[in-house]
Amino acid sequence: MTTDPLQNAQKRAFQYWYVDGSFEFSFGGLCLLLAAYFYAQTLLAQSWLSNLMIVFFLLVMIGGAFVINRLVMTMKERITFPRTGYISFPRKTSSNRWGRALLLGAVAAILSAGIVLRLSNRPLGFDWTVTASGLLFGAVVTYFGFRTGAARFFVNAALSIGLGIVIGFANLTESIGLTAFYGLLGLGMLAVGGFSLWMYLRQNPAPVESSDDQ
Amino acid sequence: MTSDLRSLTDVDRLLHEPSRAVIVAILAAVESADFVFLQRETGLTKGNLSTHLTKLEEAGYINIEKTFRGKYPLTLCRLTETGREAFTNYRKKLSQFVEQTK
Repeated sequence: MTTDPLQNAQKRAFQYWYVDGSFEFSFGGLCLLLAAYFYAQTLLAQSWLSNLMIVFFLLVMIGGAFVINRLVMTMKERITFPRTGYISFPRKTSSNRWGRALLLGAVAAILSAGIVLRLSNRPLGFDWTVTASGLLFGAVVTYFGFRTGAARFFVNAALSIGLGIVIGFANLTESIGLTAFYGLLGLGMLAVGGFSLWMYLRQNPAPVESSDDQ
Repeated sequence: MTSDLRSLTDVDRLLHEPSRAVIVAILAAVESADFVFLQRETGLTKGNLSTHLTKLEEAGYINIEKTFRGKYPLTLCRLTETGREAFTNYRKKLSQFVEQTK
C-alpha cells in the first residue's frame, strides 16, 4: 500500500474482486477440468478418440472457462455483493482484449507444444512438461499477486511451482504426470479459495433485512 | 497572494473534502459501485453518504441509478466525464502544491 489514501482506496476497490476466493475457484476449477482431460486421454490412449481429444483441447479450455466464469459470477451475486456491496469494472478496450487473447494464445501454444513434444520424445529422467507447467502457472499467479497485493497469491504460486518440480521429478508415465499436477493444483487452489471464502464469511455475516433503505 | 498558495485556493472545494474525495477516487477506479460498497469503504453512515452523493450528483460529477437486483434495492453510482476531469484536475493541483511547498 502507498501513503496516498486516495490511491489506497482505489487499490482496495481493485482487490475487492478477489476477496472471496473467487479467483482460486475459477483457476482451480479450470485445473480440475484439465486434470480430467488428461486422465481421459490416459484412459483412451489406445483408442482413436485420443486424437480427437487433442483437437478438442482448446474447445475444452474455452468452454470450461466460460462455464466457470458464470458459476463465479453467480457466487458473487448470491454471496459477496449482498454482504459487502457491488462493483463492476470498465469493459476491456479492444487493445486490452487483443492483449489478453494473445496472452491466452501464448499460454495455450506453450502448453500444446509441450504436450506434443512430450508425446513424441523419450523421457529425460524428469517430466519437464509438468515442471514447465508449474513454472508457467506460478509466474501467472505471481503476476496477479503483485497486481493485487494479496499475499495468498504467492502461496498459490509456490504451490504451483512446488508441485511442478516434485511431480516433474517423480517422472510419472504418459499423461498421469499432468493429471496429477493439474488435479493436485486444482484441489490446492480450491482449498485456498475455500479458506478465503470462509474467512470472508466470518468477517462479513449475511446482512439483516431492514426497512431503513438508502 | 503567492502563486503556490493560489494553486491551493483554486482546488475544487467540492472534492476537497476527505469523504467525497474517497468516493470519487473509488468511482474513478471502477465502472460502477453500489451504496453498500461505498458505505463500507468510506465508513460513513447511510445519511452522511447519501448527503455526499447528492452533492456530487448535483455538481454533475456522478450519476446515481436506483434499481433492483432480485428483491434487493441497488443504488448504483457512476462517475461522469465531468467528474473524472474534475478529479484528475484536483489530483494534479494537489500534487503541484505539494511539489511547490517541498
